Amino acid sequence: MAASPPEVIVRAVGWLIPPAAREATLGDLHEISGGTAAFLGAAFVTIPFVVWSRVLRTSDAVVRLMEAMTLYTSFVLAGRWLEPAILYDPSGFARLAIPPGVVLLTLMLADAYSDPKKRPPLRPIFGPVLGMALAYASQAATGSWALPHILLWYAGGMGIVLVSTLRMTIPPIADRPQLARIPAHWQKLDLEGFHGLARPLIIVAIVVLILLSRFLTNHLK
Amino acid sequence: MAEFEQLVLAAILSLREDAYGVTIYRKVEQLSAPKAVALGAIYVTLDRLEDKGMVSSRLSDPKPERGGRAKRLYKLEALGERALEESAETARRIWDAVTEAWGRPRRPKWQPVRPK
Repeated sequence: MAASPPEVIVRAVGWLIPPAAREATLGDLHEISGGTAAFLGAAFVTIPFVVWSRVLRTSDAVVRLMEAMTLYTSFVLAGRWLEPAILYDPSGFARLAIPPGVVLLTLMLADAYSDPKKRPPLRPIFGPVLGMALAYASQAATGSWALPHILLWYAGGMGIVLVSTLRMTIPPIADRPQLARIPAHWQKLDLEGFHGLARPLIIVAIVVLILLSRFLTNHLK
Repeated sequence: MAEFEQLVLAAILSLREDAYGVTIYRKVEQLSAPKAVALGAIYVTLDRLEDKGMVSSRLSDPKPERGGRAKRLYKLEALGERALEESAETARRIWDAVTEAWGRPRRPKWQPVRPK
């Protein structure tokens, strides 16, 4: 029988797996692969699926849409007040969408990696703050598409407050109390009325945003 | 229900008390041969089936052969059994239609039996 992988490698791999799935996934990887190389190979192929599955389980499409709209609105409004010139730029609305996109991605990963056994009181704020920090950092990589600092600070602050409030009002699925062993799908049905409308709502929201951006670009020049 | 979900449910059904990630993966590989299966795809499907209420899971005691880690054991729920039964019935009807059209000798009628 091949030797077990060293503990330090197991710990490093375990750190990449969301806590909710860590125990069983590490055990399965250990059982399925004998040596260190096989363990790392299996982990490399399997972990992206585990993370993706966890993202799906902890994300609610309706709440994500609300968060996206809230963040984007914060940036557009801050742009309108602080740097109106950005709205006249043909790529302005796309530039304004980069930080909200980074924050949204961070929120999805933060929810996926949250430990269901621990519920720190500051968790609703942690995700948005981390997301905004990464959004600031990402501006260095966007080059000429980077937003002015003043706009980032104001829009970021407004976004953190609004999204944190939203997350306190409608907690992420992983944070909702489970009184019985209710499947997550049924928990999502809490917002059944919205869910039936989720797809049309998203389409309408995108169309409205495109029309609004066209209108603002044409009429504010 | 998707074909892969049917395979995973069938694997859980046949493994009974010993249905966890690795055994389900090996059983699904067997059932879907010669198609290759990824362990990660099994996890995604198991999570989806659990969200739908078709299977439930619990952690076992830690096992030394797994580096002291627990197994996540899966159990078929009534909803999953019903869905699997319906899929099996549909598959049987397809088989009947195919054999009728091709005129091949029909296999003995399949009677799915629920586990006790």
